[in-house]
Amino acid sequence: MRRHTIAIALCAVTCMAATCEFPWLAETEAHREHILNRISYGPTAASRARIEQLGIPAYIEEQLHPETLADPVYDAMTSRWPSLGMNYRTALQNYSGGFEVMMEMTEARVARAIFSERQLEALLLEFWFDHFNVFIPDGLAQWDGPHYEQQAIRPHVLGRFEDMLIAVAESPAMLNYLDADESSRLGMNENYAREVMELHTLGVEGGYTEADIGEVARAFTGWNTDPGATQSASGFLYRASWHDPGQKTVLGTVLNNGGGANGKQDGYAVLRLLANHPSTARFLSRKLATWFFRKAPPEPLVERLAASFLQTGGDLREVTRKLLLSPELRYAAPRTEPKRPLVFVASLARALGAVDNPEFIPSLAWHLGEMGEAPYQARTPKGRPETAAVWAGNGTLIHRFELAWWAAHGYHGYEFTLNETGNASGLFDKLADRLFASPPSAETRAKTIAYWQSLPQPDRLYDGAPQMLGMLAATPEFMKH
Amino acid sequence: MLTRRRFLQTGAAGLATLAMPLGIGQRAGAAGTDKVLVVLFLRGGADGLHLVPPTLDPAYYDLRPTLQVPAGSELTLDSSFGMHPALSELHGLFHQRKLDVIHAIGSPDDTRSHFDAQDFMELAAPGDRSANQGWLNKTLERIGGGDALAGVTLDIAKDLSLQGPAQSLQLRSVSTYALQGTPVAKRRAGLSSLYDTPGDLLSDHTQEAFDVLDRVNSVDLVTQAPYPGTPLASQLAEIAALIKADIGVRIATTSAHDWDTHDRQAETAYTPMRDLSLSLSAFHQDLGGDASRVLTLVMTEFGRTAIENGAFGTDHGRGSVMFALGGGITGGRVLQGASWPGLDESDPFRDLPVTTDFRDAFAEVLKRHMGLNSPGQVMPNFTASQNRYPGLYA
Repeated sequence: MRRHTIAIALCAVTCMAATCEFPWLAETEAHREHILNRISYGPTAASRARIEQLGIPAYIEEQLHPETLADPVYDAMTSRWPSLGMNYRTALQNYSGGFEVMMEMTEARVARAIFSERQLEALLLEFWFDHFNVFIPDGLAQWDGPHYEQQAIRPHVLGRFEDMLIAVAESPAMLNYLDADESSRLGMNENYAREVMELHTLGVEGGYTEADIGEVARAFTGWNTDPGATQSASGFLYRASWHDPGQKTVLGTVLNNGGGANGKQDGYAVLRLLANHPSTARFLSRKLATWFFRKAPPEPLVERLAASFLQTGGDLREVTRKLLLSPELRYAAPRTEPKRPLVFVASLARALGAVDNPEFIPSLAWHLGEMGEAPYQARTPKGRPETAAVWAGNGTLIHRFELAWWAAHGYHGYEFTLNETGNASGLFDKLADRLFASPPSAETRAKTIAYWQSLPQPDRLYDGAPQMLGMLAATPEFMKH
Repeated sequence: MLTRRRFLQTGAAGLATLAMPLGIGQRAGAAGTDKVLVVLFLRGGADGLHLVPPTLDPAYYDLRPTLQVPAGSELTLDSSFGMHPALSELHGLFHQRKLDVIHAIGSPDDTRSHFDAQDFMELAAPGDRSANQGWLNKTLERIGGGDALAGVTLDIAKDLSLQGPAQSLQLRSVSTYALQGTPVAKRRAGLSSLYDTPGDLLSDHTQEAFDVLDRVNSVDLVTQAPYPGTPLASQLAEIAALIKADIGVRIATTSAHDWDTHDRQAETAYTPMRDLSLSLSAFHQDLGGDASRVLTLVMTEFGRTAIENGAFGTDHGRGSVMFALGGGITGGRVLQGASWPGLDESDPFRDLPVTTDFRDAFAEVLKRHMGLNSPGQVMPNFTASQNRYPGLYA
């Protein structure tokens, strides 16, 4: 058992004002494990040591500044995925489309989840990519996908929401996916206009009308793409002659930017209006909190986050900080919510101290598909659900049990040392110590040991540790976080 | 509801082993006679005017200068309607009286959000965001007999229509649904003992999965029809296999995608239409002698604007079509409420108005096909009335 500490003294020394908002919060090893479970893809020996050393508030603060965290293991892997650093034009010149770029993005996402030190940023990147979901293996996203994720979204996940919203709106992946590139003053296409309000900002109950959708569609006429990237390396091109120069009224605000080059300002005006709307603050706060609670979050917390969003002009670092440091999250019941498939896969690899090899990541990516969470392949602009329950369907659970079994037996490229031996209870304790900070329940212990003892003797003798591990990784305690 | 789960409790600390397969022989209902309902959801808002053009309505030709099926080139259904040529197999089934079309069907709620409209339909609760039990789950409560295999979604997640307290199954694929482990019976018993807390999500789902594992693994996946090589086709082929195996499936759901045709609809809708026609007709053929006890309903969350948008596509509208296939329906008719409503001149997008509430179609199917006495009970704040049935069995 690790030492329990009370963090008040440490907090007073190290943390910023905001992190001391709740200095009375208890901090035990169980709280630290819970926080690691929710703000990372699962604890490792190193992250347990780090959070114990810093205390929860300072650990969170460190994760809120990914730019200060060295990331050598992940960085060394990125040369396998050259598209990640490319803009639209370069990707177009180097890739033929289809699933090529998506496979690189997929491997990188799995690798970040397991190996990156910037765990919180990786989780937030998934959240915000889903929020602005595009279907990667189709349309211009086949080439713009890496730039869209790494440049339009990633720099802003702890920045200002407005900047992210604008960068997304200027991306060929989004303009093409939601048909804004098909809309002109001669013929409107309202798809992007509807979803930018329903899904990206205000929410479906955010107080806009069908008339607003039509006006927003007019405002964005001319916001277009350059599919061949002959004029624009980013693939974003404003076509002034396509723009409807007339006056528009959006949510009661009159836009009068006229035509020509200045007509482009209509789009920016709409995005700024939407980004800073109270409905947006509430909608995004609830959704972000749901992502970390894995279920509907407490409404008083949502209100505090929404107020912070409005006060700070949509500063996502501050909103995220308030959320992660909240008593509600720290005291949320631990190990109650089913892990998403990627969190399940990554948390097992992290707990076992798995090391990279070239077979490992693609194999896990395939498994995610079997468990229903194939990365970058959500078709609809709503992306994937934030809540946990949907990932625990009875069909996908079978595949989780399967993965636990194969992983424990060293298949699917997991490479980790497993030379534990001993009698049933000794083996259980040694392996449980690798997977959990505190032991599973006595009931789980008894049942897992009973399973092991029920095995034929050759299985216990020659396959004892993998058998025990394959069952431990499939226990309710490890399936939940 | 958890009765059979008690059977799985395996004594002190799960020491007892489970020698007999759990599911076999426990199905309620007689072999090969149970009525089955298959729901195929066309996600994205399929355009009923494109699938089944109203040849009687001059406004259709006026409003669809580039997207119309030119007069004379449609596949004739009757004196008022045709079918898009991409649906030639469905056209054949229509004239064999295996297929009915319900036209101008939709929701009384006028949301144009895909996600609201789909949820409202799957909950059979237009406009009601507080509803949370799917209409098919409520149906299962009445006909499922507590068997998880009575309701199945073939997809990566369970369809909302099947979500709720009644047990049901979600399968990504029949062919990969298997437990690993050596010896597998020991592992299954071990997992079963770990997940034995009624009311706990993972326990419930694990027990559901194990309850049906042997039956699912016994299914013969050899098909008897020329399915195309598409995801929809393989989902329908697996549903057909589950039904033919007669292992207790009463309701099956799956989805087809790419129906949100905002741009270049003539091209972008062609592939999903072709897929739909080939897959559904193969499914019907594959079912063979079982086809008459299997009713397939093909539905979508809303139709599309009659007016073309600037991208040779259409935007979110109101009324669309529903197809009903097999299951002993009368067949060979385009059912359209009292009369063709026309393309609404008071609507700036000239939507197709809704003359048949989708819940009336659900009610008729539940009553006449699935044998529910009070079909209105599975739909919140809704009173079913035979007078409003679209007439699939009339």
